[in-house]
Amino acid sequence: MKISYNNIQEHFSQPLPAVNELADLITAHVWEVDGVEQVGGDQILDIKVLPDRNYPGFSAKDVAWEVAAILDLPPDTSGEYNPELTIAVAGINNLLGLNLAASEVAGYLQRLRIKVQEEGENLRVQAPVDRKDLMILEDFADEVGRLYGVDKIPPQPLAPVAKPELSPLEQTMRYLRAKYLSEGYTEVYGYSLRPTGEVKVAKPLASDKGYLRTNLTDWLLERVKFNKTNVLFEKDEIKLFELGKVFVGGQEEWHLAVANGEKIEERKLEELADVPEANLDKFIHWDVTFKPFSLQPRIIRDIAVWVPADIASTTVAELIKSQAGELLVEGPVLFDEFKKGDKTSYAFRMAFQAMDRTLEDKEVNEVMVKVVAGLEKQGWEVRK
Amino acid sequence: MHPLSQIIHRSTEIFRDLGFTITSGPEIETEFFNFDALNIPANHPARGMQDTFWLEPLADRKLLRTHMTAVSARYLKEFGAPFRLVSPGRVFRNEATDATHEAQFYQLDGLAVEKGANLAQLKWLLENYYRRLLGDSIQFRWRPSYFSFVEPGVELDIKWGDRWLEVVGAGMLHPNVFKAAGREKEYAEGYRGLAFGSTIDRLAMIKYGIDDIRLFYGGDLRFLKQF
Repeated sequence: MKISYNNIQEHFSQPLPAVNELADLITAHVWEVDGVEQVGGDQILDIKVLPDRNYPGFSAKDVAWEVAAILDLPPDTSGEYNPELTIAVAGINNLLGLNLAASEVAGYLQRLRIKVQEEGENLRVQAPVDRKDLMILEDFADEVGRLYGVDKIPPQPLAPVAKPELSPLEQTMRYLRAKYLSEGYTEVYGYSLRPTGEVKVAKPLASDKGYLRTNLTDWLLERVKFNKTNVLFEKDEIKLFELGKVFVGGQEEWHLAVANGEKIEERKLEELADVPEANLDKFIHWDVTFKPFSLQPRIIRDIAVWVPADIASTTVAELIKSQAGELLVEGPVLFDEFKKGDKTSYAFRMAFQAMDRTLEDKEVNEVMVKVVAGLEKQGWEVRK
Repeated sequence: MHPLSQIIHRSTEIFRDLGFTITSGPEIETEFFNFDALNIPANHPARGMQDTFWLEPLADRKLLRTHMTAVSARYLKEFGAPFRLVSPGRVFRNEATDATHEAQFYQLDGLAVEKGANLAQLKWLLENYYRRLLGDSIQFRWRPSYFSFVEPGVELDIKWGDRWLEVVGAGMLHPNVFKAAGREKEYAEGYRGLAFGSTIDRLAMIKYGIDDIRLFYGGDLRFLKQF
């Protein structure tokens, strides 16, 4: 909701805090302020009014009432009031984890235009008619908590409880993850909504997302084929697995599907129960930062070079890499090696790709000229 | 391991150390557990076809769960009090996909129902969780908020770089949720519920610097091999 700072100010005789300070106070005590925009001689606050208060006719006046409560300025009690309720001060303190005196609780509520009469450990309260959201003790506790400041409520530890056992399902899933990750498979998460199936979505997002999946295999096979287009060598294996729900025969079932190339096996998880406990710690790679990769087409090139027998392939690969520059996205990967006399021939494969465009052959040719020159400078013979 | 599996695994282990049982529930949910049991009004827009995937035949009132809180509602009805549970899982929203929106994503929902549970404990619980997950130096900002199934309701932001990012909605379980689960007696005896629903996908995006949520569900080895 866009509310003008000047319009809020009109409800007060004294000057309000500067707009950014006011925005922080509103965020801390009632509604998140998404931003402040300068418009002419005014500043417009973009306030995310919560659904329980977002009624027709909501205006700067409603915000001004909240600002008065936050700043502890005299409340406007001129309007009509709801019937009286009785709430227990202890109930509010117990819910918030605070220990406020009855007079403090009454004070916070009065700042919100609520009429309050202290009656021992209870309060008789009457909320303004526009506050239809104030019906039960919990509602009033929310008001006290936010004016006190939820950020300021001191945390209290929960009592310790023994570490629970894993469910058989959780134990099975952990075991299977550990097993397939150790065997070099990569875990994938597929889509539940598919072009065909038994359970139909009433209003699908797209015609190819109209049904719930009946198996994990179909999508996994698509992904195997897709990933195959990004490998350096035809023989490179694509090894994927997924643990997920399928919807078949009126049932919702957990399945495991394992793809070793285009050979895919899918089973119900319940057939794989009774497994030992597995530890997944070594598969957590916490300090990774994602590196964006290009979705543009790649160009593959090979290079073979004769070097003296005492030169390691890694040394040659390093040199190629240093010459190839940033268009080189994969490799050089050694794929052939043989000795003849006092020389060794190494053959490498590389993939080139740009982040933002389709690479042209001539750009890669220029890179290869540099690579060849770098190798020849060492006195090595590049095989033509 | 898949980046979402990494976040889920570390999160559930932290909660298990705090006595929370890991649980799960159906992805096809009833209107009752997804909405009615959570004090969501009958005319609430979230119930509409434009937000929720309803399933055919419509007369069955079945849907793809829109939040993991449905599992918490099931557990409360089935097991009563006291308990501590955490349920990670897949949820669905009928919204067009782009770099920050997916029709399917993951949430981690938690509910602890104990005698005298309070908001100060909820703050301790969630601060403890995010510190153990993301490091002791993390900065928090608690704000008031509103969710129909809690009262009071709060949200927690964490500071990432120079921005505050909302990571969890939480609050004290609403008495109407106890009632819908048939647990008025427990409520009258002083049992209260600490409820929270945390993002998984967004947390993974923040943690690993991922700029497109769709990468999680692309099955692309150029992405997955980085983790």
